[in-house]
Amino acid sequence: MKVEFYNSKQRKELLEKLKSTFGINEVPSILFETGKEKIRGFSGDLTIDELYALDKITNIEFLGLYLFRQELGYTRLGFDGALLLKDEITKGIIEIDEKQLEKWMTGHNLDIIRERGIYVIKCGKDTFGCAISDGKHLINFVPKERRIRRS
Amino acid sequence: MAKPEMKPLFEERMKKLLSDANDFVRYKEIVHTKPLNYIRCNTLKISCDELFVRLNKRWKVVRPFKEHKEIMLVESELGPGQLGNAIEHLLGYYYIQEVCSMMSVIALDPKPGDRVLDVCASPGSKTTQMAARMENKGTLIANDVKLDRLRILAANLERCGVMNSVVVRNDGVGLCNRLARDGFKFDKILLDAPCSGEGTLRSSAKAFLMWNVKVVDKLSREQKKLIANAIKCLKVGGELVYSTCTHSPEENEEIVDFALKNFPVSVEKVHLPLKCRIGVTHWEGAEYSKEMEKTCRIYPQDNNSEGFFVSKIKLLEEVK
Repeated sequence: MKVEFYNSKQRKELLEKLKSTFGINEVPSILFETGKEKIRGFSGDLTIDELYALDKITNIEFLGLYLFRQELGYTRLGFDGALLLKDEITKGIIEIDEKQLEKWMTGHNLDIIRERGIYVIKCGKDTFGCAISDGKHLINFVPKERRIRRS
Repeated sequence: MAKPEMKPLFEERMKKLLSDANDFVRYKEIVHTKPLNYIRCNTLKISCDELFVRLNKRWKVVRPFKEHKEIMLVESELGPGQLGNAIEHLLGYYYIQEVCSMMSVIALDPKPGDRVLDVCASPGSKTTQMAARMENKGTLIANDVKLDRLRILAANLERCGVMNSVVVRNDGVGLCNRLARDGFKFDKILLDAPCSGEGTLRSSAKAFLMWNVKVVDKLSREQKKLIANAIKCLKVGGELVYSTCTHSPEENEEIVDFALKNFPVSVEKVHLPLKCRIGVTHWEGAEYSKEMEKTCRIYPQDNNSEGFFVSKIKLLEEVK
């Protein structure tokens, strides 16, 4: 298990970023970084010491849920991170319609002009991950396995 | 394509297991029909009522079990892959899962805060079902032996928003041995054992061709090793559900009977929302404890489902 658990200072810094960008106040889990600047959360009741002890005898391959990623200077919510925290997200939201959603969920960027920055994509009550705006388009980050397949 | 046929020995064994000739005819008819389209609402992401309303705008969906609103049956005619390609599936709002396969977790009934071990977890239908019941609280250790199967498990856990899971890669016997040795004990254990898959004929025609009595015997030996080691990981008072998707008593009652005769455990009655027949107490010259009548046999012709076996045992005192 190659992970770096966040200490309280790192957690506070991350939460400050999430609050200023998305209005998120709390993340209900232990946070840790794996490779590729991915931040995951574990909501189980094992302590960090117990997790290390468990790893020694069991080969931990995956722990908890992928929530965020540090990318291009932004903290981007993962597809499921955005879904899990959707009730906490109060700002940085772009609402799209059904037609735009179809395009988004097939992996295409959207021709929507917004200030450069990072946004959560929302359609109705559902979130569909994050987009980064380059000022001209919304860049798509829907994971391949979560896109609608066209037959 | 020609209809796959049962091997003669398999047919003979099924006739012995079923109550009469008419029962066997019903069984033989139904295993050649497609299974129904069951889904399970993932309550980690959406409420059952909300999903039910949403899906009914597109398909005819019913909830056949009053006490289990998460179980839904899509009655509309569906094209290939349509259930898997729906937005609600991609969002992780439901899991496509045969109704029988949901019974193990209903029997185990994990609660928020429990410490749970899923010994043979891939592809994750039951693991995600347990996480939903645990409300992402407590700890759920999900094990499988092969990395490619673990990747599928991990993808399903992500899609369903499971955050209290620890996914580990080990052979089940070795894992349980080491966990017990190092004092990791569990409130609940699911041992959904690798089996000969006799209950999956409706969804997998190759099961007709793959069936072999030698495989049944080999699996039976492995299942005994698995349950013997899994029991050692239970807390006193903890419960283990042993389930398979097969009908052969060598892989079902014989395993539970083995546990009962070698460990301080009791067999607990399971209450499921499907029609269950009691477990067998004798088979091919072997006699099993009368307690096996507390185990549950699910036949396709009784529920318009696949076939399954579910049993539950409780650890009464520390294993010496």
